[in-house]
Amino acid sequence: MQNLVILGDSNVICLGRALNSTSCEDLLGKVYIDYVFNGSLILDFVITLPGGREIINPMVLKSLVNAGLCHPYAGSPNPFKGCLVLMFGSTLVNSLGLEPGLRDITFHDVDADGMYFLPKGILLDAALEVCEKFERGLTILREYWPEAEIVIYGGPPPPRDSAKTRATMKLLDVPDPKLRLEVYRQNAEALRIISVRTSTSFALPPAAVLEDDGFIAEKYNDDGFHGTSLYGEVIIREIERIYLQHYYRLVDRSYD
Amino acid sequence: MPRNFVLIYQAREGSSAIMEQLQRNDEVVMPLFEELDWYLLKELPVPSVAELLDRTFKTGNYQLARNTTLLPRYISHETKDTGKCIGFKWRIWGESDRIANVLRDHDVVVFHLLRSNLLNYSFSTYLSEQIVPLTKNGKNIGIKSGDQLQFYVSELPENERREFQQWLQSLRPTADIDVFCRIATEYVEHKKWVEDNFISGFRQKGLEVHTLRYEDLASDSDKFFARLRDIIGLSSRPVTPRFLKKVSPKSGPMQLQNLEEIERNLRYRDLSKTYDEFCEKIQALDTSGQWAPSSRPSGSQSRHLSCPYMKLLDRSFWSRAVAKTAFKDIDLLDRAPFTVTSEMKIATAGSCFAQNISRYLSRSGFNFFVTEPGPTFISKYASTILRSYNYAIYSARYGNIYTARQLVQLFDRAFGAFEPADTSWEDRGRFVDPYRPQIQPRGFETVDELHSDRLQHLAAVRRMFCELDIFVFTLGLTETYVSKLDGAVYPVCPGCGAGTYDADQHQFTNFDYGAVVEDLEGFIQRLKSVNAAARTILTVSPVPLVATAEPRHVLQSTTYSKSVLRAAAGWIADKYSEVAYFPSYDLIASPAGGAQYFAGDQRTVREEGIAHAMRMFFKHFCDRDMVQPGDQDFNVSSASVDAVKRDQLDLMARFAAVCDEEQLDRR
Repeated sequence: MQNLVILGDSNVICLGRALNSTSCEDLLGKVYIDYVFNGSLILDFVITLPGGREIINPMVLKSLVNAGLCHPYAGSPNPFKGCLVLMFGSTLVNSLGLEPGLRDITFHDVDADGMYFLPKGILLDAALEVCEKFERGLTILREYWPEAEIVIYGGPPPPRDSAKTRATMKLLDVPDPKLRLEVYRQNAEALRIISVRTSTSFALPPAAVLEDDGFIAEKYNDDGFHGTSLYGEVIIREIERIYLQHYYRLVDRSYD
Repeated sequence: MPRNFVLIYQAREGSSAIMEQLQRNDEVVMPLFEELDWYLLKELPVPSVAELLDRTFKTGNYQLARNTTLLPRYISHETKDTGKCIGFKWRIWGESDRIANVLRDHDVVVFHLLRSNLLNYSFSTYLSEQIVPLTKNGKNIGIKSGDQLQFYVSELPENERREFQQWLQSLRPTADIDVFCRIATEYVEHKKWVEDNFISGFRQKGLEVHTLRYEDLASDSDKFFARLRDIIGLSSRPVTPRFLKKVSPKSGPMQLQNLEEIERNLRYRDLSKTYDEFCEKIQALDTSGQWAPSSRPSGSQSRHLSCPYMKLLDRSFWSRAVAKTAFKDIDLLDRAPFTVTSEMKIATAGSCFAQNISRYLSRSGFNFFVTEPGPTFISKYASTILRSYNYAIYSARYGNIYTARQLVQLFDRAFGAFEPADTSWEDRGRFVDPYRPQIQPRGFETVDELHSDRLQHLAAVRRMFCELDIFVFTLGLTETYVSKLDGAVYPVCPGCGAGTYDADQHQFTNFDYGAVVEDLEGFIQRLKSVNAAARTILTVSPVPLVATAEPRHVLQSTTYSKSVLRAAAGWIADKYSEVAYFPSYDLIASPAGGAQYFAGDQRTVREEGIAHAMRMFFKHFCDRDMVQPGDQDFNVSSASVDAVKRDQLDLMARFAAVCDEEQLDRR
């Protein structure tokens, strides 16, 4: 059984690449990474049964079982006391540009040609609503593994230059990067609020991968949405530093 | 001497009841019951129907060229005596001109019988033709297809009759809509055929034609027969009708399980509308006095006929239009001054009640015009958020506009003619727009953000006024608070929910009739100046005041406020052809409804009331049927709002109406 399990959507792919590279050999066997499914982990983390009862998405549970966590239905006591990291991008950020006819939105200058002014408060409330089911899922997870450390780890912020985004997603209407960044920030704030409510941890990519104004640094940007392998390595090291070492310090002194 | 008469009828219009009643009168000779019918005479070697008719009126005898045993029980062998008139009922057919000449020669009064309630007629026929013959109890009493149900029932002993009627009430059949519509169609077509081919010609030839309504017979038979006796000139005292207590006008269709489905059926609705118009036309002709010969009647009768109220339609009389009509069937409108089509851009504004109009319109496929829809990328994943931020509740994000003055000022602010001095309220580090205090939950982050949003909002308002085709405005209040600095009107009292009340800066105002009229006129003129083709529909919210700032009972203030608004809206609609008044208030708040359309708090309007009002709206104003909104319907469909997609705002209606006024009662 792994002590550090990282599950996520397409944002964990770069971590997987990093783990398979020589630079992270030392982590092999200590970290389990699984790309749960191609979709929105936030929206599909929980599914609703016909009777109205909500359960964790079986795809997620399958990943957790593959990682060695006892299936919650197998009975107690459940021994997992490690760290479970859930990593995903922002549905709202990703949806920007996926919607045809999206009008340019500004938070700053209503007089700009064709720009649609959006008061910020709505973004946070929207992000909280988007995460509603995810929040309920976290509560269920917390009941399954009460002693585990559950970490919500945000995906990378968008790049300042949207040329790469435009190139990789040619069919889409790519909006102003500043709008994407603002949506990203509000989404992060929503996740922080949820982590407090659900007694989980919350983390964002470290400052090392960001530019001064909060965009992802160019060398870490893969396609405008995801990080590069280099980004994956930074993140996996960061996770290991904060959570894995912390775990071993607590439960396995041999790690020191 | 009483005058000859003929009763033109169709089945299930009460003709047999009428004739049986008249037959009891010694002054009436009734030589035949229904033997002039085409289906009875077509096989017989008879002269033309006009000649047969002529001979009958001359002799009082219905004498066929050859005696037949087909019709024994219907033919009277009484000969016409002096001092008696001849009368009979007839499913008319034959050569119209010749018949008219015969009738005129014999000074025959023509009674044209019809049922103005098509639904009841169709149900009655459906019941007797389709339902009763198939039922066990129907068979037990020997009723079979084609029989006259009411006569069988009337002949039953009292206890059996009661039992049968209870059974009838309990049937609650589900009608086959196709059959139901077929019955209704045949009736309407036949009535129009009779009118076009005979009755209108009779009128042109100067014959006296009276339209008799089955509904009048059923509701007040004494009065009905008194009128008949007056017209015919019978001197006998009325005899209480024997079998007219059978079915009340509204009891029939109430037994249908799928009545609402029938009423919604497009074919039936079209038919019903056509028939209503037909009846109205007939009634107008009948009461216009065109047919009434100047020489008769005389005396008290002529005085009675000269009463202007005699010429009014049923809807003008409380007894007929309200007291004897199921409240849910009441329709206050005659016709709308203009039609709203699904292509038109319909903008809405006003008190919270106005949201219902946009909800029904958008659900029914109309173009609810939204110029400030909010960002679509949010609505796709967070469907409820846009509504909580007041996007697309009204056409722009202005929140509630309760007073006419507020509307005028909104227009002026949008077009740069008015810039209030009071621009923002600070509340614990957040900022509130004084003119739409509930628009942004928790307020704006900065004053700049508020101003930017307001600039965008006013641009959306400008666009709305310039491009809309129909503007629906619901007047809500006369009480308001204004700024002492420049008269700027607030939707809700400062300090109630947002801002801080300051007696030095804020002043309570209760607009009177003159002020509301002036503001409404001001708005109409302004709208015309930017959009000459725009039309306005005014309504008054039936929702009582949450609270009053006047030193009196809130009920008293509600009466004042709604009375002023109703009167002002009506006056404006009467004066301007591009303005219509839609009487949703008159319907829902009517004492005739016994507050049945209000919830337990006597303030919240129940969905049934809204639906009733909107049925009226769709029937008279719209070119398509109403679709009842469900819990999830708030379907914005604005062709001109490129960023809004219908399905993205469909879920918005799950929320209660947004009402700034609620802030007044937060204790």
